[in-house]
Amino acid sequence: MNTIIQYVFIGIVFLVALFYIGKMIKDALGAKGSSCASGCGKCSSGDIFEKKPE
Amino acid sequence: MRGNKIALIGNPNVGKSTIFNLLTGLRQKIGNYPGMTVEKKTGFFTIQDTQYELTDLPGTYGIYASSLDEQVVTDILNDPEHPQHPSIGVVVGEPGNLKRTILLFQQVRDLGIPAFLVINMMDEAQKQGIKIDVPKLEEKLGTKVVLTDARNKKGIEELKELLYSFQQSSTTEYEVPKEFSSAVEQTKRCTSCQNDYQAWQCLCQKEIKKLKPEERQAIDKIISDHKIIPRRMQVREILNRYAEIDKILDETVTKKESSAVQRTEKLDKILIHPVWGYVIFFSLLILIFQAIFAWAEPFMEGIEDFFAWLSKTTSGILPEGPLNGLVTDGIISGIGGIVVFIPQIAILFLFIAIMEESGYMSRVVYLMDRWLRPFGLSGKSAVPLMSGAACAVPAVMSARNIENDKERLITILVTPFMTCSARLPIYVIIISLVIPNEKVFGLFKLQGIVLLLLYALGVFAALGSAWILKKIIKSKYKSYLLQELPKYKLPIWKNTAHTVWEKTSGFVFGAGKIILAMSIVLWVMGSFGFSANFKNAETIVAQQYPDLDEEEFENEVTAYKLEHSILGTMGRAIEPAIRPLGYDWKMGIGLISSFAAREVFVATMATVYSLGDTEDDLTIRQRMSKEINANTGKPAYNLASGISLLLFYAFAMQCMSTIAIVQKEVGNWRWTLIQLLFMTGLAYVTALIAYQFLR
Repeated sequence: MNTIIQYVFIGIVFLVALFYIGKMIKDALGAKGSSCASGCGKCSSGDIFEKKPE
Repeated sequence: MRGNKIALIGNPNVGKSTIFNLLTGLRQKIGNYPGMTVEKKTGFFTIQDTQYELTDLPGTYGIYASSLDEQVVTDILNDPEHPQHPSIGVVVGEPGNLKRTILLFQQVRDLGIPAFLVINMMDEAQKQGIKIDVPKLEEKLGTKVVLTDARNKKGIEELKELLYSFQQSSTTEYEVPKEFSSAVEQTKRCTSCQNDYQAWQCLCQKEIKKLKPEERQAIDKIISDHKIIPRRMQVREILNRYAEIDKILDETVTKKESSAVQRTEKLDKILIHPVWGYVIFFSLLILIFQAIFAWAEPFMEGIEDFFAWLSKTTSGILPEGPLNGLVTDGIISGIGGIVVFIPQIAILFLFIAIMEESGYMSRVVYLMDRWLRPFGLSGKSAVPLMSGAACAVPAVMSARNIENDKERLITILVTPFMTCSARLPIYVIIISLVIPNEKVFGLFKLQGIVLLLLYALGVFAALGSAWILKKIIKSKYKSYLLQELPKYKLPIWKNTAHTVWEKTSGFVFGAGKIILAMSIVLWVMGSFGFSANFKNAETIVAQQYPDLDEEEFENEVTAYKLEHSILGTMGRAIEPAIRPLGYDWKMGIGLISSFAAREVFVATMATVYSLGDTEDDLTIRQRMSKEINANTGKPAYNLASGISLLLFYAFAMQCMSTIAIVQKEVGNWRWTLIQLLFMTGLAYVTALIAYQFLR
């Protein structure tokens, strides 16, 4: 694979990863609900309890 | 939908959440443990094309709330305009506590909510020697009664059929004491209350949220005019109801001494014995921590070898270039850094699940109670503290059932000291690096004992901090642990396996997403740099070390580049602050990244050390054990720096989710920041003392 294409791909993946981390921090510190926002699954508080009608 | 709103109402630990899960197909956490549910949960299900909204309410002993979780129930049931106010109340009880269940049922019914009774855990009725005359009970209560055994999925279809066909207009049977009938009439005139009991609630409850300010004022005047003392009115109502309920139960329920009750009593004579109870509890803890090391080791080695092989193989398959480095040094190393701990996490969750399902966890809470009081904690603080061994977030939330505000605040502030499962990977890897793999007395693994001591350290830190807070925050009164000890049950192994799978996979996949993102960011930051040193690394190394062979030269260039990369520059900027603790800049990167979540530390170190190494087939522990601290010239993970790191992670508040939940539960940033600064400060100081003393 061309090295330049590899760098472009890495750049995109890097930005997506940065966005995800930023979103995770925002969700954790800014969430209105009382559930855990880490989504790590250590506890069950991150489970999806609110199942909307289909 | 308004007409199809159903609420599950009942005492704690009667199986409401199990019924909720069976009806909705959701995965609300369950356990043989009072106070599992501290907030309402909502789900949906369909019966013959009719859709129902089901709310699982926190357990409560009555309509008069004494804690935040019980207040949730009171608020919903007392306010017909509340979005979750049910059109049908399903009052759930179990054969052993019918008296309290019927009390709750009568209160719900008298509020004007059509309701029926579910007697769950019918498998227990036979074991307890309890026989219920259901038709007679239905006649006495004027409603339907359904028998279920939710753990074994029995009676759920009957429950669904009844929900579908249930039609009952609201009825109120409570007779207000005659001397207060005029007060009740006045209350009905100045509020939207539609029956006597709703009006009675306005006079007896400490708080009714639905009331407008002018209604509240009018009611306060009525209370004053009639010299009403709400607490006394509540007690009087409950005593009157119990007298009536006793008569109903005498006619409908027979009970003889059963083997199950005798078995529970016999077991409790040992398991909550003032001496043997603690001996057994601590023996169990030793077993758990020995198992975490001894049982997990072969699996851990297998996973490590697999990831080392995967990294080497992938490196060989992918074409040379930056993408190869990202996949092998970044992604595979990072993910391997968390997957390797699956065996330990699974073993920990297995023991916790067995303790919760068997009913033993309630005994642990009881055993802990007497040791908590001198430290300013409530007996009820034992529940959040024990839950903190899995995760601080639900543990902090479970403090809602502590009535006393001061005790609740102290509990919330000290719970994050308890050793959560995210600390386990860090403890396991550091202990395996710095503590010899030896046996003490030829029986106990030294590494397992050190792990147990770290868990004990978390408990002591929580108690010590609580004692300090007790001196600062004065409490007007104490609350006491009043908890029903559930009967012992053999865990349903399928459920236990499911819980362990859910929790372990949740941990790995949930943490895996964060770690994957973090590994990519760290790899990019560790592979690129803007400084002249980074760009001219080959030339500089060639000038500094002219005699290196090709492999040594390549290693040196890789290390030099990492040191002058973006990541290296950041790491070296913080190094002066962490050097006194025995850490180099690479460990500093791990510390910083794990402020998001502790479990990120090991994955970060795996990525950082992979970046600085040219060998692809080394395991994480091999990479960490051969790492040399450039500042000291000694192994980066020796006894002094290892103990220092363990102490830092034992005390530091490194979890954004916990910070967020503490802020939400406490309701202000002041205590949240005090907690953050105190924990991090304590972590720094103890780590500093340990390193300076041991080096």
